[in-house]
Formats: sequence, C-alpha cells, structure tokens
Amino acid sequence: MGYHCFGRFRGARRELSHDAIRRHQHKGAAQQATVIFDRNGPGRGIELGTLTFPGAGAPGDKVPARLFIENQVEPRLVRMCQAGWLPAPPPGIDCVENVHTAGYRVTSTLDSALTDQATGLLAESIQMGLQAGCACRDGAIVSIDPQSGEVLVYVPNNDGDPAQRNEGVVDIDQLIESNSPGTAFTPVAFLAWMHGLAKAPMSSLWDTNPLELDGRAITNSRAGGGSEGLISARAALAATQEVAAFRAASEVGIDAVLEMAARLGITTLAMNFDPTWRSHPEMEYGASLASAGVNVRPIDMAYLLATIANTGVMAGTATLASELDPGTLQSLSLAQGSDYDLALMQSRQFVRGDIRLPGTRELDPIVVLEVSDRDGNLLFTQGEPERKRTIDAGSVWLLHTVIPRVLDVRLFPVCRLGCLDRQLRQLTRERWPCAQLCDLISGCSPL
Amino acid sequence: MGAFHDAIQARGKFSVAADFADLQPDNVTFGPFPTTSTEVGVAPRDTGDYSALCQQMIDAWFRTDIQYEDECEAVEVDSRDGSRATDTTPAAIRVLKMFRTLPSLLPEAARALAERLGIPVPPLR
Repeated sequence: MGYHCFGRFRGARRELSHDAIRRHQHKGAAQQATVIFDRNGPGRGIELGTLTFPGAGAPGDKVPARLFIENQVEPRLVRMCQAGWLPAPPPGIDCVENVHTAGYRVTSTLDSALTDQATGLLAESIQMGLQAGCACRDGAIVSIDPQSGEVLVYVPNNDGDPAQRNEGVVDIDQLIESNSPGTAFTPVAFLAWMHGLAKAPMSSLWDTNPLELDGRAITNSRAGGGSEGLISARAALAATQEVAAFRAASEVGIDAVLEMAARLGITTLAMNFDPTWRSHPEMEYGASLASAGVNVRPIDMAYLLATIANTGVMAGTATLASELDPGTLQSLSLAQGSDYDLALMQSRQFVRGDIRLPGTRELDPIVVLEVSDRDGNLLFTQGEPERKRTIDAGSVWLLHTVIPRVLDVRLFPVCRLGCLDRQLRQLTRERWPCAQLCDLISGCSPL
Repeated sequence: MGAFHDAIQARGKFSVAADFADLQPDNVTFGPFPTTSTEVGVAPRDTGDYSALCQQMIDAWFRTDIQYEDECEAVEVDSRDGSRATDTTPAAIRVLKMFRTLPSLLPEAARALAERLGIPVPPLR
C-alpha cells in the first residue's frame, strides 16, 4: 500500500546569501555559537543544540531537538532581534547572522525529559502497531501548556524507526506540515455554528443521511447507516456524524468556520490560500471541511486545543510577524521567473512564521524563556504570557459538555497526526492496534 | 486519558480536577431547554408521536445570556385539511400550528425524511 504520510516540503531551513557567507568568512573567530538549553537553562539544564554560522544545528543534535531549534527557536530569536527585543546587531550584520554568532545562551521552554518520554511512547506504540499489522509508521506529538502557552513537548516525527532514519524521513517536521486533522476539526465547525447562530448542544439539525449534493454523497459513518431524524449537535458531535457536521458548516457558512479556526489559532486556512504554496487559486473550501479538515498544522491544532481547554483564552507571546498581503501571493506551480522566486521566498517565510495571513492569531506559543549573552548577562526574560479571550467562555463550556476529553487534558493538550493516508484511515478505524495508537494522545480524535 | 497523559501525570506534571465545575462560567446553566431532537434516547423517538415536538423540553446545558431561536415556526393552516390558510379561508377554521422549520439546504430531502418519520413540517400548500 502506498504510504503518503509526509508533507510536500521540508521544514524551514535557513539559507544564507553569498554576501552573508562572505561577511562571515571575513570576520574571523570573534563569533560564538548560540547554545539552546531546555527549560532548566544553562548550568542545570540539558543542552539541546547550537546555532552556528553558516548552518543550523550541530550535526550530532538529536533530531527532535534539532527540528525544534530550527523551526521554532531560531525563527523566534531572529524575529525578536528584528523587533528590538534583543540588542541590535553590530553594523553590517543582520539579525539572522547575529542570532547565530552572538554566543547567546537561550533557555527554551522544552521539557527534555517529557520530550524523551513522548518520543519513546510514540515509537513504542508505532512498533506495537506495526507488529499487529497496522501500517502506520509515523506520528508527531506536541504539548502546549494552555495556561502559559509554553511548548513543553516537541516530537516532530517518529525517531525510532531505523527505516525512516535511513531514508531521511525523520528530518521532516510533521508538526509544521499542513495536513488533514480529520474529524478532530469537527468541534471547530460546531463551535462556529453554536456561536454564530445562537445554538446550543441540544439544538438540532436535519440528519438527511445520505446527503447528496453536486453529484456526491455525504454519508454518516455510523454503523448501519440510517438517520436520527433531527439530531442534536451534542449527539452529532459526540459521534462525529458527517451529515450534521456538513449541515452545521453550511448553515453558518464556510467563512464563519474558517474565521473561527483562525480565531482559535489555525494559521493556514483561508479561501484561495494554499499553505504549501503550490497553487493558491485552486484552494477552495466547502462544508465538507467540517468533518474532514484540511491544511492544518499539528502545532496549530495543539494551540487551538490549548485555547479551548483554557475556556477560550489564548495564552502566548506576540507573534512579531508581518502581515501577508494576499494580493501579492504567488504559486509555485503557476509562477515563473521572479514571481517564482517570490513564491519560494513567501513559502519559506510562512513556514518560519515570519509572515501571517490577515485575521489570524496575534499570539504564538512560547518557545523562548530567557536569553543571556555569552557573559551571562540577561538580555531577555519571558514574563507573564499575554492572554487574549478568543471566544466567550460560555460557548466553549458548551463544547466541553459534549466532548469532555478536551477538558480532561486541559493542562496538557497535545496533537498527533499520523496514518494520514485516506485508505489507511478507513482500515485503522477497524483495527485495535491503530486505535490504541490513537489513544496514545488524548485530545485528538482517532483518524 | 491516553497513555501519554497518564505518563506525564505520573510525573506530577499536572492534576485533573474532578468534573471541572471550577471552570464553569457564570453565563451557562443546566436546565429545561427547547429542542426538536428526535434522536434515540429522546422521548418522541420512543413513542413515535412527534405532534408535540415543538413543545419538547430536555434538560441540557445552554447559555443564559443569549436568545435562542425557536426551531419551529408558526403557520396558519386550514383546520379542515391541514393546508396553508389563504385569503379566502374563513377565520373560524383558521388554526395557528407550530411546525419544525425546514433547512435552506436541500429542504426537499428534509421534507421527505419528515414525512417518513411523521415530523410535522410546514405544509407546501
């Protein structure tokens, strides 16, 4: 069976201009690598890796930590430098180079012990699944503390599969790849429906199963098919009934669903916006989004769950990102020449989190707690997180009354994205090893 | 909880509060709520009698600070045959009846389902 769990582009890699490399070569040895530690900081904590120039991360770094540094910490430090949160670089040096050569000692939010434990649990569960005939090889785990917005666990891929390691697959950071969250997205649609149309969990929807529209049929996946007649949102959401989810999204409007997703932390969903940058014009969403979900990053999904778990309050720190002008979007499959170069640059900036769609979240999860210079002088310390209410607490409470598992993990929502192949998903619904694999992570619906 | 959460809870990283009552906002309550649900476990489903569906109340959670829209609509009908009252229908035989509102998306499919189950919906004519 074909296996297509992996995204279309790799995690952000820092690319240096020839000018930057030349400047580096001429500056001599006064520079010093920036060292990233876990949340216990220099002295007491574990060194996760280094930022050197040129290059990102020391070769010997463990993969999860390296990808966390490359795709979360380093872009954040560069934005902090650009925003003046860190001292200005010396003349002739930009913030990218400065962050890599200033010899900073950075205390990240990562809990090394928990991350190691999560890595082991993931590998162990996948191995159990493989032995039982479940052809699921990958997964990813991220944990965000809802009350602080701090990223505590970052497992970007299954590091335990030698076959994947040989293929270089473990280098792919699934936590920032856009993929389908499946029915895990359904609560967003129902929240939009309840919030936008003044509905409650016992408000009802017509359960016209199958729902045939434009030559295709939306069908409930419940055993035996059939219809509940008028089904409450509570029952539809608890049992993930596709027809009701479709009707809910249709009634409130797909724009409202996308707006709710953006409000709760999703950064990748908008009409005519392709987060892979392949082809923006082709990216159209319909009401099927409610029960299938598309183009969502697991780390965004975890932030969304954290916000829901925090009764609608998003905790974090200012993104320090620029707003993307949708009018300037270029597509990799359509553009040529300088427009193609622009598309490439836009996609890289987006993956790094440097540019964002208008209307998306103003806060990011926190990944940096402290920055000191090479002499130990404190340059930055993360204070109390910013907190923004994204949605009325009552609306979120109503959601919690339906799916209390989200609240069960209110201090530790996490998300996993694996078994992404559609055909495989159908199989895994029936097979306990994969269900057990899904059960590894509370807060995510089985795929 | 999943195994991962069990593991991190065992490390003392967090504790789970019982029933989460401490998080309940002021603007929600649990009490009688009007619903036209016909799903399994709700009374009309068991009896098959949906004539009072628009008066059905179920104990449920809801917000206290918003006005919920009625899921039913009132339609004046001719009491002799149940058809919609017209300008020529005598006042003496006009009756105001409540019907479950049909959806704007594929109303014909909902009407067919309603007819099959006996759910009262507004008459076509």
